[in-house]
Amino acid sequence: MTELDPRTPEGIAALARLARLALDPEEARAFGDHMGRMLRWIESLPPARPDLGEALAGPPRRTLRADRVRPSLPPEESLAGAPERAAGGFRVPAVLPGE
Amino acid sequence: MSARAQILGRYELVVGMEVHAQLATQSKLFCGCAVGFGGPPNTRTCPVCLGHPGTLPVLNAEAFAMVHRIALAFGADVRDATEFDRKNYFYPDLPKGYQISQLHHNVGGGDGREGGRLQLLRSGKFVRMHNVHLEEDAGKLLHLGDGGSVVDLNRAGTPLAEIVTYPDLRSVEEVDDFMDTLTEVLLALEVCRCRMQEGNLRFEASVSVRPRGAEFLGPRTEIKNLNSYAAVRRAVAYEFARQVALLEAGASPRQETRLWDPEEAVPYEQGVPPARRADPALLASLLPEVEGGWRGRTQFMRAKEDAHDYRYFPEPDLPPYAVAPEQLDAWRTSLPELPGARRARYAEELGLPQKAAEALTRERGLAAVFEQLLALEVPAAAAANYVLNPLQAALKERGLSPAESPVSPERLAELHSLIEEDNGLSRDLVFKQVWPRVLDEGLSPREAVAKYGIEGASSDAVVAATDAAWAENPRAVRDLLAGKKKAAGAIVGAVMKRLRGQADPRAIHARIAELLAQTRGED
Ligand SMILES: [Zn+2]
Repeated sequence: MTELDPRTPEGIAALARLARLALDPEEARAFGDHMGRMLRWIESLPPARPDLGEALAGPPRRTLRADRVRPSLPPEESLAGAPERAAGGFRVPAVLPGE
Repeated sequence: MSARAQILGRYELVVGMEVHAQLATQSKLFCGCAVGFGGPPNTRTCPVCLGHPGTLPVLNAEAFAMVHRIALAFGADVRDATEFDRKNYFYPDLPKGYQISQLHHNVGGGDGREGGRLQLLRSGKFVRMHNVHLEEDAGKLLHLGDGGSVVDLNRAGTPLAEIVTYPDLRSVEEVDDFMDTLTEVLLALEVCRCRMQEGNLRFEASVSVRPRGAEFLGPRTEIKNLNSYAAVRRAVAYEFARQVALLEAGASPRQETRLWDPEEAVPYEQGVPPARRADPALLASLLPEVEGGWRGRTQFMRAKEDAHDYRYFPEPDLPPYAVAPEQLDAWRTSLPELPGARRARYAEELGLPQKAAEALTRERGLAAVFEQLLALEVPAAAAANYVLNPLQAALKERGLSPAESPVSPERLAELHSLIEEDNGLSRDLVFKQVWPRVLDEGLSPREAVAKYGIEGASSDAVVAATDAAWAENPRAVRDLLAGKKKAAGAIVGAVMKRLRGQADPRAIHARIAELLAQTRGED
């Protein structure tokens, strides 16, 4: 996915669009530089993700959950972080189809 | 041939389906919140399905098993280890900013692996499956009409099986056949409730058109917002007409996503340049004729070049899940009999006529009633008869599904006993006088007989009527004496006429046999 390479101006513009960020040229350059450095660091690390065979070879782990219902949060708590509320839900600006 | 048929006949419809089936688990895919429909908004949410930072998903074992059972039912090549991917996009109903899904790690098929196939119930055609994978559902948006929307996250995190076919369907009828067959299979597997009106089962159609006989595939449009079986059929018919209208005008369809709008009648394509719009008059002339005029249209939503870039990457919060070969075998061997196999068994093992076997397996739930009758020791042929003739007709008349039948299998079995017992009640009599009361008054067959004092002709009356018919039909008697057994029919018919259909044919045959023996004895 070279078009998303933050080390290119096109890449940083595409990433900003996907992240719904409006960057001015100054910010775009700064972010590109920043992310480029982060990527170089990441590339210099040995692969952290073990390969599948290795991951599966170990002792069995309890990674699955039995299908049992557990109490949910009271709606008041679920909505505690909502910037705006309406009709028992999180209120957001309308989204047009296709967006 | 009509002009419409002539034009459409030059083209071939090509359809692939993408299906989202909500898995019938108790709890959500990655948290313990209940799975359900309706209820006050945001009452089935927790930090995990709200996407709060610092929480971790834990996979629901039942959902994992269910999606494997679906893949195995298609005969797909199933992985011995499953991994998840993140699909990133922003939408208010997606609290984490990504959906946990599977891109390269489908449970069944995908990535060049065998996806298996599904044999359609009505046509017998095989539809190839591309892949089956597991993912989480998003929440719901409620539009307020004042420029705002409300987010309800009760549905967020509900387990979904996504089922993708190859573009193997060639007509609206085949699309319909596919939807019915898949619904039957999912119900048989007990993995989905399949209530489209509750959004348990959601279909998207990929439609393209090509000149008849061509091998290539035309650019396809994906149709969304199809929330009933009828909507899918109509949208596919509309899209076929729309793409043919474009091709007839020398234009060509483009790869795009369209929304089905069931209400509007006039084609209208906001955002599409005039040169790429289908001619409304031509399009209208190509639509199926419907009483009261055609309604519904597909509406341009986005072009391929605007397609989302989902930046998939492996989900770091979930480990790979190994599936032991013994586990796979256990799932495979516990698969229930699927409708296609059931049909074959009814015909081959139970000896039902092909037509009856098809009829029993075609309508949802009918086979279950039939199976219950078999379990109640009603012979297969008789059971098929009760289910297909009186029962199915009565259900159709009342607009009920077999599951909603007012008559239980136990009562049908009792009806069978009533006919079989030596009680003077003929099959005819039972169906004319007992059955309507069982159906409409909620009585058991024996209760109906007792309440209305229904009785067949007495054995004395049968003997008298048979003797009279014997005397009045010398020719039939001669034939019978000559060994022509079929000649008894004339005498039975005469007796029935005399007793207004209330005699048991077995009693008449018994008396005829006696008379024959007597006559031979006298000779
Ligand atoms: Zn939850």
